[in-house]
Amino acid sequence: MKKGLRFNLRGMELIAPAVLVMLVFTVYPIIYLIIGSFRSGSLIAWSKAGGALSQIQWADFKNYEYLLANADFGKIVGNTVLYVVMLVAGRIGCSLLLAWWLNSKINKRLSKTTQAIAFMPHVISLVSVSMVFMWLYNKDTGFFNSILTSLKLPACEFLDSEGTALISIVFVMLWKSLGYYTLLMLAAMQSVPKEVYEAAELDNAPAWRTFLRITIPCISPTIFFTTITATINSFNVFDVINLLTQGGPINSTNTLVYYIYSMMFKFSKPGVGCAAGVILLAIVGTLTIVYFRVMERRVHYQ
Amino acid sequence: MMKKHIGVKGTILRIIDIIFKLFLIVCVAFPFYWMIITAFKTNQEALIFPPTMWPENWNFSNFAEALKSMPFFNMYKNTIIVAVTVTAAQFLFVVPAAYGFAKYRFKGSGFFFGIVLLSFMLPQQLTFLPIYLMFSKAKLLEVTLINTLLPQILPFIANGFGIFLLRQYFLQVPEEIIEAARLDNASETRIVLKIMVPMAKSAISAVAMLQFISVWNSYFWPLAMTNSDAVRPISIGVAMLNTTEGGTNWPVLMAACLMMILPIVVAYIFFNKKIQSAFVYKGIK
Repeated sequence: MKKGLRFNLRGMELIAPAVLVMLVFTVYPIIYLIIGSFRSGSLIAWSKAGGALSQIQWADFKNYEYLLANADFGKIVGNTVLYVVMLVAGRIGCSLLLAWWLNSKINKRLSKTTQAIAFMPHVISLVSVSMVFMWLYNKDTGFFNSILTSLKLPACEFLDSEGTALISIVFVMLWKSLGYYTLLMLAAMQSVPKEVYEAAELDNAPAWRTFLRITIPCISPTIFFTTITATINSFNVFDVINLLTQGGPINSTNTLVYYIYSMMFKFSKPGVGCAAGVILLAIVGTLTIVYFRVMERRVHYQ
Repeated sequence: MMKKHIGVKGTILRIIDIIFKLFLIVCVAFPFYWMIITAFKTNQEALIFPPTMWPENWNFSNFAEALKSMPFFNMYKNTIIVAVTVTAAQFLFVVPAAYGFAKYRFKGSGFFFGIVLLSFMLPQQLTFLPIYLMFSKAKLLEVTLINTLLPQILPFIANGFGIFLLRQYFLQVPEEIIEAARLDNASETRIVLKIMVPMAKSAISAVAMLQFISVWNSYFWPLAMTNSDAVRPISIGVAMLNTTEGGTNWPVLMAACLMMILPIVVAYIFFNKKIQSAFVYKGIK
């Protein structure tokens, strides 16, 4: 079959509508973000200037200088890293263990039901989930504190205290996403051919050994892929913070994306927001490249 | 095939396993339970500490209150319109694009696919500003676009994630079938409609369900793209209930949350196998 110019044009025709939409809603905003990081002025000024290059006030590198010299920004990046590490470790670790447990031969039907119920939080709106947890975490009348006090333990301030707010949010997101990650791991485990396990059984290996030496390497592509997406997803946290703590108390739950949003809207410093956005993209981009390097060395394919 | 002689040790293990799994189910399901019983309590009972595990006085008026405290029906209508429109429009954009990326090699296809991947890795907080300014200025038939539902619809009709998923599926369609159709002089449109779509029917419907749920639940984008209650969806309405002065009325808030999640929960109960299958596919490289 001759696959000449006409064939290739056909391909481009097929993808053209979607690509066009993406050029407007993905590529243009990124360019705007990068250029915006070098601008100064308030949100209103930006809105008035529109696209007219002549009307733009330039700030050179002042936005970046502001961020890098700002102790608050350092804290925010620190919060973000801490949050991501906790959440990704929780998601991957717990889902692996849970998937392995649910994959065992006993009580299969109950396992399926457990999996189905565990998955449900993923499809429920984060708005509703946040509201329920805000209610459960309430330091005066919330259910969690009623459990603590009935066990004669001190009441916890959860979302209202610097030390516990971030972990409380990690827990909410973990609750919401655990079923989803477990499903991914479970599907991967179930696609490992039975012969592999049977061979291990012949060697009389203990269960945890089978898990570490066989199961994990066999599903390592899935683990790798899931870790990347979990990481990127964790960096983008916003909704739950906006609904529960608005970055507080005392900036302890202020993370990068929330900071960018508040710079742009609340404090009307869109230039600084854009600069922070560029920094976020740089961090995530670098991490992705690092992940891929690690993958080339450690992931086993069948 | 059942092992008949499990023995005492096996039975004990089984029972422990059951207990732990039930415990896990309770832990996961508890927040839902709490949401439901709070919605039927009176505001006074909700504030009792330690809280009651079952409503003492069943109160059914919270739902009516929730309906009154915001333009509920209008917002619900907005949510439905946006979710349905986006999901439907995606068929026109996502299916051809996935087919194009799967079965054609041309200059720049790698680059464009990179843009596709980028589109669902970027957080919306980085892209909303220029899009918001754009919609605030654009007008169609005398109406400024920011006052319509379009800003909530247009950016999502070319869903990068859907293109990615569907392309994986289309890649598996054997070339021979397509070649045979081409030899019969079938037009490309026919190939897409009569061959590709039926083969990927389950994947397409799973992706559609995924998208519908995601748009239904979206919070940030409508928050950033709307200036008036007339175009806001129910997710914003529920969030707004939390910011009333005089302390939060938890039962009313929980009632509103329930009404918002109800269609999705019902859909999940009926279609959970299908919904889960969409997510599973993502995991397979």
